[in-house]
Amino acid sequence: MSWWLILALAALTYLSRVAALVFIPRLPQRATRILDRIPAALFAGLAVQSVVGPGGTVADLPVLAAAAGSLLVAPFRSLPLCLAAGLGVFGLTSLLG
Amino acid sequence: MYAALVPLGAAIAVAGVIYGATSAAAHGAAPTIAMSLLVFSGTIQYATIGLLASGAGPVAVLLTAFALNLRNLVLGAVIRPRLSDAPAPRRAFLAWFLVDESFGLAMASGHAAARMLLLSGVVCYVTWQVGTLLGVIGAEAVALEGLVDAVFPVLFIGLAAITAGGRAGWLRAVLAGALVALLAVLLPDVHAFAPILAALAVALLA
Repeated sequence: MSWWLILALAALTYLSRVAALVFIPRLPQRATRILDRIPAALFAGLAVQSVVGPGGTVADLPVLAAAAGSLLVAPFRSLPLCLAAGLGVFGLTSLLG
Repeated sequence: MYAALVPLGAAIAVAGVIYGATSAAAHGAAPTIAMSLLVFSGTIQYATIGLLASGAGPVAVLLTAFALNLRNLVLGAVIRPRLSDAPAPRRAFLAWFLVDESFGLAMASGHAAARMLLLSGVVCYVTWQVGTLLGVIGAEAVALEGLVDAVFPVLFIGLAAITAGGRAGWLRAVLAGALVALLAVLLPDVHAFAPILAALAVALLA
């Protein structure tokens, strides 16, 4: 891994972060309303992407059980609770399996 | 919301240990630590060491990073209206800390978005560095490897839960999840972009 590659990756990543925050002008109300719908959908998609791979391969049973444990407590809308439930179930399933 | 910072930091540190151990074994300590300090993106850093391990060249790594970073444009555009009180130099500073996790907490914190973005971003940055360092100096990464597979789905489910809002938000989250699963089966080549494509689709349709 060369140093210029690291620097190029750092520049690329920071530019992608700063672009929308600094250079994009304030958006109209309608666009803002649509953008507000993105976060939960994006995180749900990322969660599914973490357990379903390309071609439909699925994660191991303890990982699926962790996701299910986290989903069970998701209606409480607490990140610590979701982490505790998910990783707790993961630990239990790993021990039993 | 502040209570979420502790488990969040722990989860990020675990991922950092795995990255640090894996990358240091292949590329040495200094580049591994420099990547975490300067790039500060688990997605990009994991993708880079994976691509290099499979023989890809720097151009392929940069193109992949470019594609993966497109997500940041969307995150930035979504959170931008909540930072409208902050002047441009402050937004440029906050941009350093814009990662999935800090974005999720900032969005869920309503009017305190700028403060939460900074606070959670600093927590993510510091724990990512500590995790990387522990991995580099030989923390038992093998024992954590299974755990990191579980951390991310659980973390993202938690972030979806706190940002979902009302019933429509939950419905959009379920739809986006189903769409990502469908894309994984039908169009495996777009796997890396599936979450952002699905989120944009349901946001526009709903």
